[in-house]
Amino acid sequence: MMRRRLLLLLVGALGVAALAYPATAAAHGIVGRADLPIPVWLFSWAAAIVLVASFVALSALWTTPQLQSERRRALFTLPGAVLALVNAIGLAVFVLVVYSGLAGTQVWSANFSVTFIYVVFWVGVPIASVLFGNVFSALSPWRTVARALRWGIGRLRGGRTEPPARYPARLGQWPAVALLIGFAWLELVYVERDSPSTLAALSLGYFAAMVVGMLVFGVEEWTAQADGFGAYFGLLAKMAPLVRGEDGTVFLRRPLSGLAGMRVGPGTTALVCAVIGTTTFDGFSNDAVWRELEPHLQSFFSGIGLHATPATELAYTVGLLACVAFVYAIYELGINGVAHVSRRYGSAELSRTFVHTLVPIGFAYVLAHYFSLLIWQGQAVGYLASDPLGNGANIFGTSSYRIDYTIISFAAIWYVQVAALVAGHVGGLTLAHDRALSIYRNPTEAVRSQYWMLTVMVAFTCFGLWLLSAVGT
Amino acid sequence: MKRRSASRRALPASRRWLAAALCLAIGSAVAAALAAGDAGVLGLAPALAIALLVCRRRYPGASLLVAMRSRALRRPARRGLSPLTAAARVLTVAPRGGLLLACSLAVRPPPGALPAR
Repeated sequence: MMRRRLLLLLVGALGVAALAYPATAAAHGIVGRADLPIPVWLFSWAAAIVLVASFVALSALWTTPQLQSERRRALFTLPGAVLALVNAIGLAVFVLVVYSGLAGTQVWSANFSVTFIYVVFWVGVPIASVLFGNVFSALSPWRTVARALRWGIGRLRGGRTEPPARYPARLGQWPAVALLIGFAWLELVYVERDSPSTLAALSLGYFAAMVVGMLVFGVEEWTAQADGFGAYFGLLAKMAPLVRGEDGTVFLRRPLSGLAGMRVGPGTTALVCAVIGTTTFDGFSNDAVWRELEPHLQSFFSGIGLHATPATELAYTVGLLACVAFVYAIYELGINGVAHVSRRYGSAELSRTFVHTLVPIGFAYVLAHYFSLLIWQGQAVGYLASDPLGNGANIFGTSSYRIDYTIISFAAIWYVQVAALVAGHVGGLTLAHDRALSIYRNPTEAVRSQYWMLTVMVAFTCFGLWLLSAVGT
Repeated sequence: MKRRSASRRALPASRRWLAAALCLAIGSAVAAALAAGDAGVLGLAPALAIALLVCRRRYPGASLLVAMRSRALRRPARRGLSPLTAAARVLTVAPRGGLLLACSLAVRPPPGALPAR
């Protein structure tokens, strides 16, 4: 116990020490960069030192696996009425998003749907999932409707509720990967991304596809494998200290311990890499390197006969996919190194074994890149809720609210971004070390394998900080 | 010996293209960033340094870490005192005052675990 406390203290102290230098940075193209008291690259070096120190501390002091099994402690039971209320709220908000998108003003900043989808849904739900568990399983409108329909169909079929078809195992989570990348493409590449009516129409299409899929293949199976958002939020929820049982009981568990039992199938690695890669591209598309590269790509596509808009979209699509591939390549090469340490396991097996270590990194990237968006643009929900259609209504009396950009300083944003990146990677390193202890009997092999994971983590940290610092330069 | 041969295995052919593509991508990005005068690219130096080290199968300090780990494993974990030991701790004190004088003057000193009065 003392050793673990010492370890936590050491890691925490190093983290604080590394962050004890003020600076400012930007994310998501919203924040401008202010003057930095020290060069940005020094932050990367400090973060790398924190990771190396964490690696040493873990290797020396974390001697037995601690996170390979969930130790749940029941806290309380959620009444069925609460769950039904949350289901209804999720459904009502979805209806509002679609209605405001179709019937409201087409000015994105005055329409509820755009801010809700890109800020509350895309950034807020992942954070809530990591804090409180899989909240989206209760809020998901398509899941609620599919469950209700399945219940009704079951009643008609005399109580038989099994789905008519079996989900093809070989597909795994690939549909979720495609949908997640598709959403990222919509957000980062598509020129009509801010059009409320387009977003509403796409939301309706997604809703219909999900409901049909759930009815055919089963609600839980489809949610976990093919619903892009269900799979993504469910993945992040495994980091949470809270988990809800099937009977509604809420349990407390060690943070991150839920990831050890993560179901890894076809497409799972790609799903995690897609989370990191798409966020990476969000930062990279604001970087000087991309600004140099993009015109060449665009002119290449123009040269083969495409108009300006499709050429630009194709160039950005290439960039988006390249970022996902880049993240995948770094991870696979790191795993390849781990495989060289011992003949006991092959690369493919190790890739599946260690993929859960990327989940905290994915969340760290999301938090770091979108934090400013959530804090600033998230305030817009205050006045958009009163006037969701942008027609001058004042339902809750809050339509005169405005975004307060002084609510948080640039320096505080930079602290949060660096802290999120470093903490996420230390979390990943901890998970990797814990897993290595459980699969390698030889301590030398366990330690050596983690040199490779350390390399992967340092690479992702330095790369992430570089991208964050490059925004707005 | 086995470990040694394992560490000297060559990169599988299926992964060579991956390594080559990654090196190319990183090299191009670094070159482009340097050309654009982006000093932030220096931030990638720690990652590249560690990568170069492990790619050459160098694991500095690994044996030390293993030794530290085994030392930590050997060290008995601190547990709460058993009730018997705790009671003995409460009752057994070093002689003081008159008892100390008596002990020093005694021909045969009393046992160490003499209960205090």
